[in-house]
Amino acid sequence: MSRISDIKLLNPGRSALTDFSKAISSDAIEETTLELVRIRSSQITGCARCLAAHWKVALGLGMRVDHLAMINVWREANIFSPREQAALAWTEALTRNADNHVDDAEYDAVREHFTEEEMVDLTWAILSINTWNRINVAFGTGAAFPFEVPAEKVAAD
Amino acid sequence: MILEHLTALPLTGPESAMTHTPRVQDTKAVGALQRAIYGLHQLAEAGSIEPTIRELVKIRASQINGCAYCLAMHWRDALKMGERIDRLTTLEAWWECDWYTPRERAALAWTEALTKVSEHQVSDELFDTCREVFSEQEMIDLTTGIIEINSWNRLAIGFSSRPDAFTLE
Repeated sequence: MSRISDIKLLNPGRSALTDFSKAISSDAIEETTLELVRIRSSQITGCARCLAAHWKVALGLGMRVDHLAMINVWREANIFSPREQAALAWTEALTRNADNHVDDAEYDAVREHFTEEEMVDLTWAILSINTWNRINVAFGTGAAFPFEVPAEKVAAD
Repeated sequence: MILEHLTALPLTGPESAMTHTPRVQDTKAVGALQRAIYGLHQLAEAGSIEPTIRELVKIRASQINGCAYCLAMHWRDALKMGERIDRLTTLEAWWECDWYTPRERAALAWTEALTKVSEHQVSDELFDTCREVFSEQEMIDLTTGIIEINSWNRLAIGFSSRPDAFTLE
């Protein structure tokens, strides 16, 4: 499926992007919240590689299939915390900012649930996954598939 | 097995969700509409489109339309009939994935085209591509299923049915 025959050509960019992704990290934001962000971004940009990869990570963190399945409709789903919902709103605002202006009201609503430092971290995480999405979408790098989902990772409470 | 864990999708929300007031109080009128849409369901079911494809179509349309009620229901139905979780995780980017069959890909393309009809014209080229893997009758059956789920989505969204509002049996 890959459009590029010499995948190594992507390495310098990928390496720089890895550094970029790691540049800001206070560990203040829960990994589970960040995985919601990464999956939502990958849904909007239509990146199969990142979708499969981050579903795997999320399941590895113990997140539930039935919760992850509802990320597309998080506003209606009644299962995500206010902080998670704020992170998802900010993800959508920034990922779709070519179509929608990001205004102060939107920022302020998200800021109610995150410190200023966390806003920077969250934004960095969104920019990072947005960029990974676009690299993979551009070059059709494909996803690691299939992946097995161990039953214990899926177990409902 | 994974499936056993998933028979109980937690469709109960927080306290505030439980007190969500339905927008329509005349449930009889809604019931008549539901029966009418159910007629479409029966028509689609009587056709020759594989149940697995019908579920992929329903999940994808519900994602596009943003219908939590239908999305929860059809994830659960798909898993119950043995659909793989990893195949469901990449539905938002199905066109990038060679693990969907030609019939599944055509069905998903047709679903997107008809669901987003207000954004893009539905081209002859797309119809002809779909016709390569579906007979004329199957195109009608597939389209019936797409119209059905789009109707359920709009019913649930319009009248604000939330996933916490239905039971699991």
